[in-house]
Amino acid sequence: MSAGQDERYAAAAAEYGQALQRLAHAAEANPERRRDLLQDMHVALWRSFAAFDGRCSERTWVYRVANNVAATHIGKESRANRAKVSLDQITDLPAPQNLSEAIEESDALERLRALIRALPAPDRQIITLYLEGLDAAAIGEIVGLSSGAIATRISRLKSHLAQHFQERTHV
Amino acid sequence: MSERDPLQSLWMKQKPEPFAMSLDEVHTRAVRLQQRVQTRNRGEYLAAILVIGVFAYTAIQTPAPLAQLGAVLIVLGTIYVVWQLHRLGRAATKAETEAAGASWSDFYRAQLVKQHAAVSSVWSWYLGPLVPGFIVFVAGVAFAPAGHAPLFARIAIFAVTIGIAAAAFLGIAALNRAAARALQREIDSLDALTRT
Repeated sequence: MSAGQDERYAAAAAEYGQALQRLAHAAEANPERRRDLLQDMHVALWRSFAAFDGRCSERTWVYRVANNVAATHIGKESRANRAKVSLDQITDLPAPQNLSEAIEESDALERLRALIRALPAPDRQIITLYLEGLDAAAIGEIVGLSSGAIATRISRLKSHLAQHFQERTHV
Repeated sequence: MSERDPLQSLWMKQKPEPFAMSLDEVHTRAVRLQQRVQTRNRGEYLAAILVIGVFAYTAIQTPAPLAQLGAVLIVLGTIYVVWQLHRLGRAATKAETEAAGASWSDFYRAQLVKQHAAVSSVWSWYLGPLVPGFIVFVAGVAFAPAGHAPLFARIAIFAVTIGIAAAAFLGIAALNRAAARALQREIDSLDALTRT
């Protein structure tokens, strides 16, 4: 344990604390388990700074650590629940619609999180990082796929989400 | 500048839940997580000590030389298993720390490879070292010089005991093989994904 590690963690927690909360929310619906997950993310982040060598940006590092903790958590929690929607099963890919109506709905955010939670890894991570505002190259660096593959998947995932939002608003 | 995706806008509107974690709390939780691992390891070591104690006592007390040899072999096999558990546990902890900041695909692949190696090699480091001692011990008990049972009954006791144990061991081996195949499929599909 070093003072540098503590300082680096404190700065990262201050800068990315809210992003970690959003990532935890996308990974876990249960409030108690989500709190545990968030705490695990913080501990993993603090520990990880002992090994941070600056080979990638701090932002990439933070998102990698948080994503890996979330992936481990989901793997443990949902080993019995394999009913995930595979991206390859998405056959109908309409163009994204105007989502303003859906955004107006009070449950839109919860629905979005539920849709994300139903996705398999790495689609769940890719769309979450996209929603965080990261571009395909940055997401590729975090997830470990090429930016071209990421861009393709983002496009399909956006269509998938848009389709589900549209279906719900027309029920 | 391009207009922001409505879904991104929706996502970023999330109100953070009340959450605070001081540096002290982070340190405390890190220690607690480490202690949890140590407690789990301690349970495995205690179980091993119990097995070693029982068979060491048996080796001293039993008058049957073959059973004595079997008990000693079980003690040695258990010591080897504990050493391997200790070695693999240390390696896993080190790898976990190093992999924390790896990309998801590298992190996930490392986890799959670790699980694959564990289930593939379970015979060589977990079950295998106990087999010779077990067979010799059962033979030592079944064919003990002090026994009064007829030879046919002794052979039957030996065969049934070894048969039951062999069925259990083969069942475990079959489950591990199936798990290893499933993990290999996952590794292959991940490799295919990262090649795109």
